[in-house]
Amino acid sequence: MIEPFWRRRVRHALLLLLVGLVLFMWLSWQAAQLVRASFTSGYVLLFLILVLAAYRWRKRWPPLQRLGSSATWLQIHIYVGLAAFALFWLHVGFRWPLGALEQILATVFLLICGSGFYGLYVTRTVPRKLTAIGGEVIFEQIPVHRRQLVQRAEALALDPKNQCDILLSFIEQRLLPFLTRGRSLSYLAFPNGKTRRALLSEVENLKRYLTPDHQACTPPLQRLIQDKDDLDFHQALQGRLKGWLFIHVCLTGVLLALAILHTLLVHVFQGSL
Amino acid sequence: MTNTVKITARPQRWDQPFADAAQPCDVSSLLALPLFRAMDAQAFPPQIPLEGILRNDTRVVDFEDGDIIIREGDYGGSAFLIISGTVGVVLKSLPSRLLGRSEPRTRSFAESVREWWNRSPVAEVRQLGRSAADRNVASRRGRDGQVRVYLQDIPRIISPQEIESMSAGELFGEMAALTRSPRSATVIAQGRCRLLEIRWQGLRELMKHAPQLRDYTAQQYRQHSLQVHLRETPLFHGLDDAALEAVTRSVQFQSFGDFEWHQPFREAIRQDTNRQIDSEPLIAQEGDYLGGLYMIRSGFVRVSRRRGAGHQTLTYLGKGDYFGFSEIMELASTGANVPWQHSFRAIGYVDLLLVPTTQVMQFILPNWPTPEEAVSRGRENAARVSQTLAGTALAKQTFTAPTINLHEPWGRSVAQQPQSAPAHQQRLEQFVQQRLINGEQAMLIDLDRCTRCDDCVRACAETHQGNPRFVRTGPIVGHHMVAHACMHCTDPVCLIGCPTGAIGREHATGVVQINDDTCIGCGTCAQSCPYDNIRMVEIFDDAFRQQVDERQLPILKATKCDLCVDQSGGPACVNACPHDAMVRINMRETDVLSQWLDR
Repeated sequence: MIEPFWRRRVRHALLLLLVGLVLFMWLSWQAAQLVRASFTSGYVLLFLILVLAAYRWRKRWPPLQRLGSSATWLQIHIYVGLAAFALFWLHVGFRWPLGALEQILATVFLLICGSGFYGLYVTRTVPRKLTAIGGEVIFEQIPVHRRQLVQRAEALALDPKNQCDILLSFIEQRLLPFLTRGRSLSYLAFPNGKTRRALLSEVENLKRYLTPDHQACTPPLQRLIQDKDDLDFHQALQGRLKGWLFIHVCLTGVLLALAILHTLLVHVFQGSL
Repeated sequence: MTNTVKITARPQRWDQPFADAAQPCDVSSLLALPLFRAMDAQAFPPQIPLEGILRNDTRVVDFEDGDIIIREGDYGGSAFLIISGTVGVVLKSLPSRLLGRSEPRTRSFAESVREWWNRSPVAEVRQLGRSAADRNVASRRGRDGQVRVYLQDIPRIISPQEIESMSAGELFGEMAALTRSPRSATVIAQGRCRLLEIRWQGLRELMKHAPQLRDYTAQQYRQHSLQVHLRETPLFHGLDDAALEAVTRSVQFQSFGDFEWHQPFREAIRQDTNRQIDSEPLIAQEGDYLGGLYMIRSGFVRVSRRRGAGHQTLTYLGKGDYFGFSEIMELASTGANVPWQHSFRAIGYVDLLLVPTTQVMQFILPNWPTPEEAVSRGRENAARVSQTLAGTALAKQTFTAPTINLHEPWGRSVAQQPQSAPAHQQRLEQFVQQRLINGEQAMLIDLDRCTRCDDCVRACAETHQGNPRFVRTGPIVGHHMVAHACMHCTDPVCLIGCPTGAIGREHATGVVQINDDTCIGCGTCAQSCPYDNIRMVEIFDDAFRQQVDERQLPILKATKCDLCVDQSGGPACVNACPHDAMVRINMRETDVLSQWLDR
């Protein structure tokens, strides 16, 4: 029996609520006993951060696949991450910390949480958009596909049937630059069909200057424009999927270092070490 | 005026004879063999004469003492007639390593860590030239230049009681060749022997026109396999020995479709669905007179019903399924003659057993739990069919529900099929059209969940000499991709023709595996795989130098997904997918498949 996703989500959310409730009651009880609950919450938070960081090691080290599938680890990562986010606010007492190190630490923690929430959003929405485009493109092979598009355009330009100044100048001045150049940063951040529509409309406008024989060349041109735009769309969205993960992972290292330093300093100034 | 056509000779069946052109068969000496001498050459049609079959569909093969002629579990397309010498049928199962196959072994955690630590920076590093003792298998070239695997020190491995000898004039291997089932035993040469290898095409012609061979083969099958097969079929449970014997005697053997369907497969899948359905051999047509109970021995059958001008696929059946029972049940309970309610077509090659209607009514129906129970069970199914079909607007117009109860197990899946969703229907049609139903461990990727992170590809590479054993591309059905990874097919055509038996199916796990030690890189398996799931790779040595032969040509090895049989956690690709986007699934288990696709 294969479990539907909604059932898993409900079960995990309930479990998270239960664990959160127990933790909250424990911390409240400690506070009522005049014990410094921030030590408990701090150590629990550090432990949770270590569990979250361990997912990276599970992915990198194949022998660890015995400890469960990556999908199980990701579920743990998501819900532990949510728990850590809630615990962080309990730990800082729902106010912004005052010390410089603590402020940096809190900023990095919130950035990492933010990137995590963003990652959760993009990993659930972007794949559908990629599928909707149709055709599957492997990110690393995008330059190869781009070269193939350029070759197709060059073949069109060299075809004796298409020897017409209007067509050739369009291919040379408008199409080839579009096919060879990458897209702007703004496009990669917010991909859209503006350039595609503009070029397709140019091709439509060209038609009235062409003989019926030369007009037969326009559908392949339009196809090329669409293919290149789809390729760029893939690059932008797949780049987004890879980009957020890169930032998330880089921040993890910084957070771990800062969190350990913070723990040491707390003990030094509290007199425990 | 220029010519618009080029006149060329039409390709003929025997353009490529089975025998090597340099060593053609001596037909006159073959005709003198008792088996062929007894045949009436006049009974063969002029376009397929007996001489032609012997010249083009057979070849003489010589074996040395200990050579393995056929291996238990292998798939083969030919039978062997002993011309001279003796062969031995090994009555016990030999260890895989002796047959040139790899043995499954799960790595320990320490071994996994050690392997990861010592991993090579260069992909596909192999150590060739290991001693025979290390390789656990011995091979040599036969007189025809073909590589043969042979058993060393036979008396130590097999006692004389475990070998049954066959001598000149006897035929073996015909059942596996005709039914595309795994070889049931290993056969080795006992001393030098000369055999006539008959490919299945010729064997079928011989059986068609030479009654004695047909009778002999049918008798062999009835005697040794059929009764066991029927006894194991749930439909025949409860039959006493006499009844089973009577049914066994009445069973007819039928086969449909192209035995080598994988050859024209790439062309066939480009056709539109209607043309493909039309081109599939018809076993039984909706509305036609009932022929009897069909039981599928091997292959796949498409079940469809007329819809407008075309046919709608309802489900597909495979080995062990049967059809025609519902119609016979209806005939028995109402007395009215019921035509076929669905059309049944052969997808690829199908081998069937046909039990005549009278035999089913006489022997099987009285043993069916109780007629009332059977009818009520059938009504439930039929009610589900009617309800589902009635829910669709199209159904009301052009698609009529079967008029009888469906008693076959597949009737349930037909009834549960949500006909109202065009996406579901399209999915089913595409799975069948592209023959993806052949996969027992097909790799399905849900593209709506896959983030294209390639963790699966990396995990596969890390567990397989730095090179992934699959490509994350493949046919897309709806929002699911069937990736180019070995599907460990029900009908593994890649196994046919491997000269060393390096590719084989593990009995215990069903995994199709390649043994690196015995793979000679000929590429036969890669060319046979209809799904392009086997790749030939160039290999390197420990010093990261490419390995080439004396002619400077690269040494190749066939590689494919081995389902990580040596990893304790199962397939690394599935384990590595963070988003539950990937699964290895048996396409025959339609219920599980639907659940996964519709999560």
